[in-house]
Amino acid sequence: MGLREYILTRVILTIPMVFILLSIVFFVMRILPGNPVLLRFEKNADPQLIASYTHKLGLDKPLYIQYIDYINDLFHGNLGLSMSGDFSPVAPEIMSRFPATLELAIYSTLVAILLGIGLGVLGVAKRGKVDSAIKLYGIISYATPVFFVGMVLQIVFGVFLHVLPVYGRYDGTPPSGITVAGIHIQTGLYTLDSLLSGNFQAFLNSASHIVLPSIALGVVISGVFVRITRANMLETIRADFVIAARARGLKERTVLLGYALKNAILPVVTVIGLQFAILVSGAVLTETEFSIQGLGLYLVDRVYFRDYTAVQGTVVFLAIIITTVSLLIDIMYAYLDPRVRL
Amino acid sequence: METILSIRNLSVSYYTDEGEARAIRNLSLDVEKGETLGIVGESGSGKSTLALAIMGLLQPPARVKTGSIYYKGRNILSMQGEEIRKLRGKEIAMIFQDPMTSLNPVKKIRDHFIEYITEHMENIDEHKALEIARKMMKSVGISEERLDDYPHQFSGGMRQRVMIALALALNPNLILADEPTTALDVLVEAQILELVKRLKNEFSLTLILITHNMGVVAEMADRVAVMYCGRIVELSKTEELYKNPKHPYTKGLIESIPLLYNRSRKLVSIPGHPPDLRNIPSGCSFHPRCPYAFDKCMNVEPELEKKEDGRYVACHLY
Amino acid sequence: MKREYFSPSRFIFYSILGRGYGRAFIVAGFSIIAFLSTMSIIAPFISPHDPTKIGIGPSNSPPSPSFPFGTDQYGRDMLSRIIWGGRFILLVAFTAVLICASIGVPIGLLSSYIGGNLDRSVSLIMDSVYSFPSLILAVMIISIYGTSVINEALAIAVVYIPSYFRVVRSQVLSIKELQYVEAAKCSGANTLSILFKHILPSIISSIIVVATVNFADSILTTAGLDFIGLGLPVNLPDWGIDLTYGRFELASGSWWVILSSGTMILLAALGFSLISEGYAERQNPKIR
Repeated sequence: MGLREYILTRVILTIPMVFILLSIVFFVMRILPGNPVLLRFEKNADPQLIASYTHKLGLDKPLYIQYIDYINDLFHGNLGLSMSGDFSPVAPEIMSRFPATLELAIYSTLVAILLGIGLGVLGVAKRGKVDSAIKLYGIISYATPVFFVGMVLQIVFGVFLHVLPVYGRYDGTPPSGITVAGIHIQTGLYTLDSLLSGNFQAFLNSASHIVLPSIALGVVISGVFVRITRANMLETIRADFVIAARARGLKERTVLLGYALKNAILPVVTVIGLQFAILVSGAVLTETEFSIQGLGLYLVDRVYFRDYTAVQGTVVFLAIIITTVSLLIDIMYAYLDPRVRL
Repeated sequence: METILSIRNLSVSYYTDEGEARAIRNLSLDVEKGETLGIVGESGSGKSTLALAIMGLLQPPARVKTGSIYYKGRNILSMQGEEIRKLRGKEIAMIFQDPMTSLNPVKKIRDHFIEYITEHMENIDEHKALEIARKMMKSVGISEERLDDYPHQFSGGMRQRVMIALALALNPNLILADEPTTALDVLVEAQILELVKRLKNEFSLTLILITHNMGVVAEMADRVAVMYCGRIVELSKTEELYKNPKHPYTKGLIESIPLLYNRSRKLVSIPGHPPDLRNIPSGCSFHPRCPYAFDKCMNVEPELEKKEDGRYVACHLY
Repeated sequence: MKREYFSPSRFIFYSILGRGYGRAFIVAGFSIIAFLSTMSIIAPFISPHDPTKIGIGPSNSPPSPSFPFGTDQYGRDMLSRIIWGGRFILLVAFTAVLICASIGVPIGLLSSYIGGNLDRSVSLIMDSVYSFPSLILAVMIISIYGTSVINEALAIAVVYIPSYFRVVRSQVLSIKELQYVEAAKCSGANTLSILFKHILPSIISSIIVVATVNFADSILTTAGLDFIGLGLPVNLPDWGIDLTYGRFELASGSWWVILSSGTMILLAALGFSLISEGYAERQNPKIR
């Protein structure tokens, strides 16, 4: 199967998968509890109020119409209306929160990859006790609740050492991005925006805020990277071409990095995809722990206010993001592997 | 004649959960400069372990128990770090059995050459290394444009040519070829053997050719060492060995070669199986399969001794 | 040919005590789990104080001889709370694993055994749920249906069913063609009996690996639900709840509340992770 066919098949398969997920979300949110507005208010609430809410949110229509509306709205980028009183659309709010989550996801994945691959390689290079310790690290880090790591980091760096901020994303007004040729570019990723506008002070400000959350989440995810790197390295290090490389008297560094790691790293890419679900779960908890106004905290917030339509919108948005990311990772994997490429 | 490699009383074992597997037992062997020495034996006779030991590449669970391997007077087995690294590839190069898996799948052929050459010769830059690579590719009969290809873009035979070109790039003295043609089909095998023969003369190499194929040895080797169960059981000039094999195992090996011109001869195979290396028979390890075995064979292990006619055999019959 | 008979007792015996790789991990994991489960079950008999009684000691007192684990902000004994605190989190995890396995395994067996379009559709559904974050779905479900042990377990279970399905399916597909299944087919055994008598026993160890991972993740997800305020009532003695509310007392310097409760959650998840790692090592010698 060529690369083109592979990508095509993968894309085509993604469409029903997204539909299935969306339908499950709809099913859980609408069919079983009946009218979510009833859950929103206390039992003795004004029936007129309930009726008006139900009507405004389109919940008085037959279910199949609701479903068609729901899917149709999604195609138009409409994630529904909030139940919080002003019936504001959920999508803009989600979009404004998304960069915070994305920034956390990027940096913590970076931490996880660097830590995971570094320790994995170190273990294989040293073997013995170092390797056993690293193996244990891989298991323990996976078993640790991310907010527990976050708390410990907060105590150590924030309370005792006073070196890093322990909550929020920025002190003061966030950086505004840059205007190039009349187009205003603002990514919402504060570290990137501050760099774009050339404000180094702002960069330090935002970077110092993201350090602890990224480490907390990164450490927890790194366990899987350690394990997969180690396992793949141990497999490739026994491969004929590694023995042949040693027989050519190549430096141990070249053998480990250029031969064993370079061949072991491809499957690590797929792990980024598989880890994405854990990353998103972890982000919800990390955002809560570090008061980062991202999607995760928004979700928790909306749950607290019994804003079920907003909860649904957020979950749907995440579902689409997750499916897209795993699609992209698969395509990237196929593209990176020279054996598949040809 | 100058001895280039000298193996003395080498014993290597694999330590597994099921016990110690004695892959090489008290083996001694001299390799003369400029010769082609064939080492033959069934799989499991310890010949590949021997190759790895010579390269200093034995990995746990394998361990050298006793003995030494001298290359130009220096003991390979006591070398460490940079010393052994500089020896591998630069002095002794190795050609592996399976060319399909012996090259790094994610590196272009040119990068194989460049890193190999520059990591051994500090005074050679990438540009010069590439020049050497082109020359080597030409001498094994591959056009230099193919340096930009990845290993999987080559056929098996072509890949083995690349491996040979790589092995010769630093002009080593000794080449260890471990079953270099086993994975190839017969026509390609003949071409590769022809190429190795030619290059051996061109580069005035010493060649150790490890194989289970008696035909290949007959074609290539000046001397042949027959291995059985971790020991050398017979060592002599190729012609003598084929004309008049002494050890019953050697006889068995030669009789099992199919001959095109003599179809009337019965093709015999050696009865039984090579023994379990964790549980080697007492006395001569070949005795359970030997048609001539007598009492002594079961109790006393014969040493490899020089007989009157100048040939070495480890057998109580002589 | 030697036939391998499956015997659960022998299997467990060799798993725990048998020689071989991964043994240390498996033994350590089982010990931790055995310790935690026993502690939770006999909590009423060994707990020095009532875990919910306020003002047993001074508020926020550090570990001392009379309160080895200190007290929390309401003066409740932390040691008693730790001893009791595993009951719900372990019960939720256990129920979740039970639900997942008893749904995922039979579906996996049947779907892959029958094959064809049915298998393809089921696989597609399973694949689409597989990559969904368990916590998010659990948050959504619990926010609507409310908190209870069974709801938490169900919410966690939904995302994990595909893990069982996938591992069962891949095993069944490779086993399906084996001789003894063919023989059973020829001898006229019906589909169900082939599945449960011949195929299930040979995939049980793969299921155990998934189940242990499932256990660890369920514990972490349950703790996560506690943390974002969707857990069980806050007055219950529970590691997740103590960890969640203990952090508000950090400013006053009482680190012992989160340290003990956090460590317990970590230990519980670690115990199961160790077991799964041990089995993984045993099955795949490459990662030793």
